[in-house]
Amino acid sequence: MDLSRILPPALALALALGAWEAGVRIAGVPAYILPAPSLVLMTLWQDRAVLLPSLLVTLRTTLVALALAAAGGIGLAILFTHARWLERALYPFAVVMQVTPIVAIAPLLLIYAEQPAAVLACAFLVAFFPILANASLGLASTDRGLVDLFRLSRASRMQELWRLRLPSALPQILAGLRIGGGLSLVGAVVAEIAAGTAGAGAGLAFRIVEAGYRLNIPRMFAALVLIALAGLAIFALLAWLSRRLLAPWHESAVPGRQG
Amino acid sequence: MGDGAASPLVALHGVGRAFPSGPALEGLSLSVAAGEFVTLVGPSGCGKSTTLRLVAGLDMPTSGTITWADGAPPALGFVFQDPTLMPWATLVRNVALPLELQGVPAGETRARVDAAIAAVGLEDARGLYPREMSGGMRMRASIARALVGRPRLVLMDEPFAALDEMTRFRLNDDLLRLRRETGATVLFVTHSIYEAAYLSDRIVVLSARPGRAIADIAAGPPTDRAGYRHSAPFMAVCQEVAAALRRADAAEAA
Repeated sequence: MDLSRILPPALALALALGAWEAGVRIAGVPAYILPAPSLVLMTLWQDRAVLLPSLLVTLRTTLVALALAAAGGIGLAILFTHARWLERALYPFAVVMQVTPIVAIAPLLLIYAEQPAAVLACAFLVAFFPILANASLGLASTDRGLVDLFRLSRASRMQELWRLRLPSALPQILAGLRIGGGLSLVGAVVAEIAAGTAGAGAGLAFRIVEAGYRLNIPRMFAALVLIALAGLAIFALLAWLSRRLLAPWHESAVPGRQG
Repeated sequence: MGDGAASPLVALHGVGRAFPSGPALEGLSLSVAAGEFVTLVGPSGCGKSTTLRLVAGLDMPTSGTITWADGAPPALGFVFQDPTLMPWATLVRNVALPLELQGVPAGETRARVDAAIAAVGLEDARGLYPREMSGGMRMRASIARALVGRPRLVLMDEPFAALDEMTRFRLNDDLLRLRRETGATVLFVTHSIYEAAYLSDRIVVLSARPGRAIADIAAGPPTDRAGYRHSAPFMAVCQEVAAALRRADAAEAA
């Protein structure tokens, strides 16, 4: 690993946390206004019995929604390349769902569906469109010359899909997944807040709302840190997958070109 | 040689291709004999590339017919203006593609891919991805891929236009050698008069859009091209082609 690339952000983070800790201690800010980072860390450990199960609930919702959105988005994009009329028919619906804020849709979904299903649906809806749009773009931008070459070799449509269209769309598909991964977490959090269900099945976002009602600010921060870490982990995982799949051939993943 | 009328491998009879934007070709008649190297030259947009696509079966003529010596097209190789390699595949995988798509057994594929790569002198680049190769290497790879299917007819659409002159000269000579070794018939498109005169047995000059044949020039080059570029017969062919192209331009302006 290259130290000169890790050192600056690590140093900046340490400085910011140090300033925060020092500021809270010197000014004597009470914990219900702004807890010090050390207190947040302690709360994270002390409340782990409440927070970790909730983290798992939110993570599971996010990952299941992402998987469904990936399957649905890529699948529909493939259908679109084979039937343009289907794209013209369905694309407006996808756009309407995308431009309507999920915060506004969530309460409606909660009327029609049980809470876990509604939360899953919200997370799915926000992740679905970027994956569909990016996959469609990628599948439609296949090199015309290569398409001709496949036709000359009398390739079947299946061969053309698996050996040409999907590999050539892979960079865009992965870009869609990276966006969708972050958004499905947003969707899950928004829906959990709108649902406001307490009890065993409650996700992290509900823990934030709950802690807010109880003026338990350190726990709010602790839950927030977990959500941020979950988002980072999803992003890092998808970025790693992207690099791994594209490394030998795509400019975006060539070592030393990532700025 | 000559007009190839004896037993043309492929013949176009009054072929036309109209696009919504207008006709690209009209009444093009042309025949290519087995083993012949025929080059199409003409003003840009005169339908040279369209002609190759029609012969390859990638496009259908809107008038006229295309006939084949055996009734059906033989094995074809196509070299595009761009190398058109799959960026996610190594050289070996790129060259193997046509055979894999046709379901040729793996052992035979390996042997034929090795032979094709050796024929274009890329043995040391087998594991490279296209982005790791130079422009000349990519075009060699593209030619290897066109030859791996043992085509009787190779169609080439301005394959060397984007290369620097020294690379182009070298690839010209390599192409002539490969053609001697394989005995393949070549239908070639270029906008370079010199390239046409150097490579071809016969040069067909097309008129401005919509294209049709306005001159058919037998070049009759020596088998050994050493020094040919600087010989009087070569210059005579160049001048004849240039004169025909000027007539095409004048006809357009009129």
